[in-house]
Amino acid sequence: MKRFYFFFFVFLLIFSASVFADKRQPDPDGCFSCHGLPDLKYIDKQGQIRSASILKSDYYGSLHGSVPCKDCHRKITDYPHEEKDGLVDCGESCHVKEPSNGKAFTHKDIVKEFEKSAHGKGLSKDFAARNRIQEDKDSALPSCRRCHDNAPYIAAENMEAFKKEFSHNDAECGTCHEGDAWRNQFSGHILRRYIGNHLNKNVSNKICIDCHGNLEKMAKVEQEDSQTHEKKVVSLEFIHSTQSYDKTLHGRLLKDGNLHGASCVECHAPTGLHHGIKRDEDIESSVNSAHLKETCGQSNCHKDYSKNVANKGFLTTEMHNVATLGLAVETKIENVLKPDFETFKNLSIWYKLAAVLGLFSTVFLIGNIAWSLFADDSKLNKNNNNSILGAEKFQRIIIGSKPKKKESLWAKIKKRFEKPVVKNEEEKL
Amino acid sequence: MRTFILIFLLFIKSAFATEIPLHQQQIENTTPNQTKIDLSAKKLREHKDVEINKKLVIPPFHKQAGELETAPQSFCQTCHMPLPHQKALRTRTFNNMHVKFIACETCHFENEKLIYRWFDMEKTQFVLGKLRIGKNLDNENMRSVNPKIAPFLNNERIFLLKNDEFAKQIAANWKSANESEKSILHAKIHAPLNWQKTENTHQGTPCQDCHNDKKSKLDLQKLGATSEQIQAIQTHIIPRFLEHYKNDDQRITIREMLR
Repeated sequence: MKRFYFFFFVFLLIFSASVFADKRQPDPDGCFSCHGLPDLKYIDKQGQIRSASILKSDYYGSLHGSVPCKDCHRKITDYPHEEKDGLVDCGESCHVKEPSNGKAFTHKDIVKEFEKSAHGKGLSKDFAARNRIQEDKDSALPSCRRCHDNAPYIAAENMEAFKKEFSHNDAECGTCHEGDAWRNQFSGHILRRYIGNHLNKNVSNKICIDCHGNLEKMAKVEQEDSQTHEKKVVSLEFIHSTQSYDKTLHGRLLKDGNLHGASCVECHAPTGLHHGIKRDEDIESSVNSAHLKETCGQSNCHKDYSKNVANKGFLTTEMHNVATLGLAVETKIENVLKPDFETFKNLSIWYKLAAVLGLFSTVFLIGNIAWSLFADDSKLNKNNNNSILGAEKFQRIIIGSKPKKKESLWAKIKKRFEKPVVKNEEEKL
Repeated sequence: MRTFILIFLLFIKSAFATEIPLHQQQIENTTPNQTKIDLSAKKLREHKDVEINKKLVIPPFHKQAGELETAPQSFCQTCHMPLPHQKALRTRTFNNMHVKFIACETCHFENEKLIYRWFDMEKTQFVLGKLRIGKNLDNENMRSVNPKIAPFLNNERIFLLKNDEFAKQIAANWKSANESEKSILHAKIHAPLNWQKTENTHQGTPCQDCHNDKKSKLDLQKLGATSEQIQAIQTHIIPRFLEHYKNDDQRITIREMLR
């Protein structure tokens, strides 16, 4: 009898687990009855080709594949749909449960972090397909959708690696977590997180590069001065940040498929939910000089090195050094014409010395040219007043003698370049 | 012998002679009245050309099915663009979906004697077409823009092709025409079509003409539909849903209708 109760208990446990486990129900409202059809397209008044055909095979394998449409497009009840009813707010919670705590899943915390970041004025809600053109016109700041689309759980390029790494999944995890319910509810989510951290540094960089790699766009960015709150033009380092990153060891490692290189986010938003990117001058920024020790030291590569006082210089390494780029000459000239004294302060002693010596050399060079053009050499040999500047004034006011008739500038230059042959002929005469 | 040669020559002539498409005949034989011309003038005034933007800086959030074909496939699409249905909120996407496999004249040109066959618009020949319908319709595999179900009268096409001399002539005339000339030309070209005849707001044939379980406008069996496909077409939920609308501005709760 005891055995019967035992088996009955086990049966109940298994049965209840399979009943209460959340299975994926991505289309409870029947949206795919229409949106699953091919070629549902039209051209809207703005000339934009719009498609209502959501690729079914992609959607079910996407990050939001288990989220019912109405969790995001909340107020849609009628057909034809009204745009205002379908507006998406990424900070809302949805019916999918966070596997670790069983609470309704939400991006609210990410939105909060994002709003405090350098990108924080970008949109996180009021998204509709039609207002994409307007958003692009109104703001260059990233919104949730400018950076993220409804990507597949496992990107196509990572699928092979995923299969290889997790070929043992069913055999090993399945020993305890048997059945489709667990797999549907947990495995995809966990495995993406796990494999994502190791495989998608280049993918996450691409998100940054999509905007920051557009030099024309970056050159138009204006940043608010943290003290005066005035808008100012961004630095060359900001404009060329992705190019200079490519020249660093980090960029080159990742480009070669070696994942030891640090991605953009790993330096600029290493903690929290990785959306709190702040400007380096912000004391809370991970790339502010006050935090570089921890930021660079987070990896195994620089762990102890960056924290060692003897290696202080390591932390002053310029990671977005435009000197590594063969920038166009006009850009360099522009930079010289608009000197940035803040940047100058941070330059090495060699740069500073070269700048001062360069300035003196320029003065001497100009003086030399002026002397050779305008100085009257004859005066040097006659024990006269040899001063170039103010000699005539001195003669007129202090000595009281009449100065010679002033020669025009053109006459002086002409005299200087007169042919010596003519001079010789005059001497002969 | 002479009679025999004469009959033979006549046979050859009839075999190679191409009938002028019915649409063209009707355009040529039409002299639109002032009401029709005024209606055309009004439509032309209201029309706004849109330049098609293909790609936006901000991409669509959900991956969408298929790409757009931009080359006009028919005489009508020379002016009406590859996705000709734009204004009717309720039906434009569904109608544009049908553009992929149904010729414009199939819905917009009425004649009781017409029969409908699969026709390759590029190769200008009859071909075997394939209907795709059903609950598990995969929208990943896109169908080609050819062939289309198109209307024929006595095995002769009644519709114009974009490369027909007459179509080219009309395009040239349109370019050089002034506003009033365009109104007349517009009225002439559209005279044979349903909306000009009925002055109905539903310009094409209603969905129920094909999607009904009594008598379909199309001979689905001859078009290659299986018995399951015929049933799916006849009882499709979307045309049944759209049937409930009484006017153009009406919005209906989806859940109520899908019950």
